[in-house]
Amino acid sequence: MEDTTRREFMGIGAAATGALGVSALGFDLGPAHTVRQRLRIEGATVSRSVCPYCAVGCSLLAYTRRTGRKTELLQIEGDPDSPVNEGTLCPKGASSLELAVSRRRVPSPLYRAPGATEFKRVSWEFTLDKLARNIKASRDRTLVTKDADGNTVNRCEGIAFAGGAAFSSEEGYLATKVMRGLGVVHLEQQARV
Amino acid sequence: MTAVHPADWATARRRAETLRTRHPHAADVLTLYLALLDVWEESAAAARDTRPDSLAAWSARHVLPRVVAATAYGPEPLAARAAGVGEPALRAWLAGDETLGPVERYVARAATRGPLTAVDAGAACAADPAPRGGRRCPDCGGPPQLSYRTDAGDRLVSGRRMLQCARCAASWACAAHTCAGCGETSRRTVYAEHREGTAVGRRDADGSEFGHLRVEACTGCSRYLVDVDLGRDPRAVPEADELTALPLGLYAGEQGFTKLTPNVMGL
Amino acid sequence: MVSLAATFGRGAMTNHWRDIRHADVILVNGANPAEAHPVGFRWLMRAKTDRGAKIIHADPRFTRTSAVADTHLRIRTGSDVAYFGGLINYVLGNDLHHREYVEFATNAGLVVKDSYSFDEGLFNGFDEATGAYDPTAWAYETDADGNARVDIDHPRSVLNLLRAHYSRYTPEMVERITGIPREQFLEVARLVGTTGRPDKVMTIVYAVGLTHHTTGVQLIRSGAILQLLLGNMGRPGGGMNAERGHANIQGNTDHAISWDILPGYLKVPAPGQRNLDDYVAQSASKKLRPNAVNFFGENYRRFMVSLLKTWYGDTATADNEFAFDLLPKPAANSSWISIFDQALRGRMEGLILSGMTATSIGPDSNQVLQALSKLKWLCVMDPFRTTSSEFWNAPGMNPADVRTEVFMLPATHWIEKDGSFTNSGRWAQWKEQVLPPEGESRHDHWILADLFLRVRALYEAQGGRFPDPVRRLTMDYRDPRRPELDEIAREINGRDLGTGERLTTFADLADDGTTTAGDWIYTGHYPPEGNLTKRRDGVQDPEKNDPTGMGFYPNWAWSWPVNRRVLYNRASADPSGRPWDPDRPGIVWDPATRTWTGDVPDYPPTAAPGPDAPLPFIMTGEGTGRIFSNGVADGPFPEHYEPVESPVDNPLHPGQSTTPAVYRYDERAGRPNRFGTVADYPYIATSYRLTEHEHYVTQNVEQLVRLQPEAFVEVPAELAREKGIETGDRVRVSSKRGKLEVRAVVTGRLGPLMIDGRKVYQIGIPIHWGFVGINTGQHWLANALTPFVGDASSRTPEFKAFLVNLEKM
Repeated sequence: MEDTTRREFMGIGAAATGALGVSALGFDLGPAHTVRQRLRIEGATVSRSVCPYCAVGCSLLAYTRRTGRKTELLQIEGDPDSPVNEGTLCPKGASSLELAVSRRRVPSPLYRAPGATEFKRVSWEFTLDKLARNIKASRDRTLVTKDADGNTVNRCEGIAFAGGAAFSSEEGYLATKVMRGLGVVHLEQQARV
Repeated sequence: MTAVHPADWATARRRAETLRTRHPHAADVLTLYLALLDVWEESAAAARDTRPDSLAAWSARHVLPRVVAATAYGPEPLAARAAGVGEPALRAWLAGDETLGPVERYVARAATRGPLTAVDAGAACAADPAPRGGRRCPDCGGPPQLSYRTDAGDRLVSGRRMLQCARCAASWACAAHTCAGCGETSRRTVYAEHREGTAVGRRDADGSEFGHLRVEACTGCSRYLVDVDLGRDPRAVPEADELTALPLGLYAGEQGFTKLTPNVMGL
Repeated sequence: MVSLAATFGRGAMTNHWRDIRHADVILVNGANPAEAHPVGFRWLMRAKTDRGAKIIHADPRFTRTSAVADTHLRIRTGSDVAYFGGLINYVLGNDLHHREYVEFATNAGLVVKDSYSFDEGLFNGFDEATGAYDPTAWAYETDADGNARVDIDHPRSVLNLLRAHYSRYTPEMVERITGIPREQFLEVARLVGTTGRPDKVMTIVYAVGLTHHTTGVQLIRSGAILQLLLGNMGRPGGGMNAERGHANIQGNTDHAISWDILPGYLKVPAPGQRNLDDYVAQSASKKLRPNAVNFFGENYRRFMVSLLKTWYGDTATADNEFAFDLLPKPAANSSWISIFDQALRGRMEGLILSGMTATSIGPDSNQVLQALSKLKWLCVMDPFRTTSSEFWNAPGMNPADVRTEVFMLPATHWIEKDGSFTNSGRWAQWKEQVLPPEGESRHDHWILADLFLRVRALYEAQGGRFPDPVRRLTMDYRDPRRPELDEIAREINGRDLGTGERLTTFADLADDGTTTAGDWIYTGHYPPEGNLTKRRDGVQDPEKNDPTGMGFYPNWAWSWPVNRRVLYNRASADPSGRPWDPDRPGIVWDPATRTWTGDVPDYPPTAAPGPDAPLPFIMTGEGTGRIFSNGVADGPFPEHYEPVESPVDNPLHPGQSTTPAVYRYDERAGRPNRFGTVADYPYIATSYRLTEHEHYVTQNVEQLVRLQPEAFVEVPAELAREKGIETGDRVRVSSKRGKLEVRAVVTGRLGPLMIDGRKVYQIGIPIHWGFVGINTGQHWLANALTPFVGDASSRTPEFKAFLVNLEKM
């Protein structure tokens, strides 16, 4: 920003901490260096999110730490700037952090064959390939192009989709679009239930 | 936008004394700060009574000698060099001049800090062309010295994010997610002392040395400033506590960040 | 959604959370915001503490909301039409309605056709054979140009019919139906009546306690009519405020994950509509007054064509009706219960559930389990295992007998992807991706895009039934298998195909195929200058960011439509453009600039007040709010009907106790009856959430499971004494459909009530437990009890009023 570059001089603080361990005004920086060596300091990235529970729409600030390939959630707090929640979280929203880092997540796609007594771990490729074949087969079997009155209806009666209360809006839109694209008419989400 | 003057000198003094015991690494800085606090308190009162026309001239005559005297509590060479600084440096500081050397700047800041809290800071700094408001002081146009969070009194409520002026010490609210230097609203990193586990809401200072302090850094402009969280330590006085954050500042420097505005001690 | 759209033209919370602090009186019905929406509830409390607002909580239970309310009315679950109807009768009988507002902003003065009748619980237009009304039978007298006749003093004016209709809802009748003692009711009625004054405002806050009924739509409509009579719609501090229960129900309703609509509340096309002309003629509202704006109706075609251009791209041309034929046209209601009804009939092959668990949701979970086991395949997309992904292993099921193929797909959490959530108050707020996807989990939209493209590839390779819609759907994303939500947001916003620029307002959408908009009500949220849902000018600087001081914060995020914060805000000002209450202005006409100032006007922005000015409600054909409406399936005025399972006959018309238009799925399908009677199941039950849990997903959160570890039911103390039940005892609660065997919590919170001279007990059933989660021992599904029936219009299930028996074990 222009006004800060104009005032570049304001930034000489770090430069002033001379290599000799004495600041420009003559303060001994040795002790601070010693403390700094002893401290375990780490960086966290601040991101903005919205609470996933009820529809009040509380804004959150989330702090994450990246170590190697792993990203850890350190803290969630209310965003003090939001006109909706003004920095406040309820106990449930506060616990959303635990939901986010739960160890109970499903680790990989699972498949249960007809009549099987347990799931088995499968690959995404297997899952999506098989599901796509199921969808096509069900669509081909249950697509009605003309109804009994001769009206063009082009609807797939044998596939239903339900979900999306925790989708981002844009995901929900894509879900609607591709389901209508397949001819699905049984389309539902949590609004009704 | 309403500026707040937290000129409770006695609170600042008590806090600085506590911090001096707790943080030996900052003892020198806090000793000088305590000496300056006396100067600021008295000069603020005098300025309030006098209502000087020219703050620079008045401060040069009435406050500067006392600053030089107080500086005897600071590093050896500084006091001697401070004696050589005069009114032009004060005038330049109030006008936002960018070319002051570190000693001139120290003296100019120390000599005007007290009176500026007692007079119309906007008028006193009228010569400074910097914009008012936004990321600069709404009163005098000075740059932010530090950031702090107010104490909302509830662990599940995050307090407002405030900035405090490096020149007149006024405070003003600023968006919590915005870089005080360049206004960037993404790519922000905060550096703080490591803590185990995860936290929800505002966390207590939990006895760690710097639990309520962190460095707010911007990868956009490579600047940082120190943030003091009063929610974690309601007894903190941002200006005093900021002086103890030097180890965090050294770390930020190693990461390639430059401080947005050095404090009165040039750190 | 249905009832508000039928009354005002849009199906959404009319005001927003922060706005509630402007209210003088707050009626809370069918909701427990102190526990279910705690942070939103702060704004109700602000109204109370800052301006002395009175909170009236009408609820079967005494909850934490009741605890801070000024009055708690213990109301029988599902009887709110009688309560609101009684208030309507009191207001009209005592001439407390806001007369000038009613004439200006409602259809009270329109004259209804003389074919209108209401007799012993039955309106005109009912077809015994189909068991349904023909809503077009509820119409106005019109002249040759199709304009409705206006004469408020006519015996068949809407106002006079309304008066006659609710004259039966005396305080005595209210007491007989709802159980609210008449003196207490009258005290509330007197308070409510004061808000008909221009300088007073009342808001109604409600949630699924009103919608989850066979009469849910009419329960809400009765409140909406009261608000129109009192002149409280469109005003800061007023409105009908539906509290959505999940983070993004509003956004995904707007984008039409719903059988009956397309994005932006365009109706889904119906069989028999051969082209766009047919579609628009049957779907769009007709202009009924010369100066009605009828904005939606007049622009219906533009919005639909722009949607078709978005979805079908170059395939959509003027010559082929913009590919109208490619859109599926459902034969009949295809909502939630219908999915399982179709499965039970053997007509549903596959079901994809994303973040919703049918087994727990029900209704009638045992029947839903049977429905799931009749599917060929079930796909569950969720971060956690659910009672649906595990349904084949549910207590009482034999996995070997269940032939359904089950796919459990690990999906990402909200925090692992970006995108926007639209809150109850229609504020679309962008969130950033905070964490990368955990393990192998994938974004739902990537899964769906990938699946769709694989299906497309199969059609390309193998051919198949009518592949055109699958082949032609646009998937113009940088990586079509992995679309960015930012790309989709731009698609939703739409653009001018000539210039390629994104549009700033839906006013620029065209019906000639030169514009796109994936959802017209979101056009303008992502103009060329950027994504406005990311804006963050909030309370850090109220003077700058809230220039009116009314809490609109126009540069915080973005709200539909066109960043308007209070819907129908033209009605916040009198006919001359001055606010009814100068201290709480919504919009104000400024004669100097000849514009409306304040909030974004829900009105032509430069239309001057005057006798020929456009009418105030721009979304309806009448140009006003609709007291009388043909937008619902079970009557133009709300009428009290008993739940399908009720301990009493309807005191108003025992011969027509339940709504005649209710659809009884089992009966229609020839399955055995699953409704119980008061002889076997003497107690009313109602279900609800606890503050510590969010439906079923929180069974995976240790902290919350520790706080509320075990299923229980709440039993009224007096009934518990009769049965010798003490807190902690195990009890069996059973309906005709299923049972729970759980601990009892004996409480004074629930009653009893005197209903039509009979002592009636209500039993409370928290819904959160199942056979999946941290405490798997708590396998009882609350919705095993609930009936397989829904609202006459929306088919929203009746979760909130049904009959059970209670036994000590």
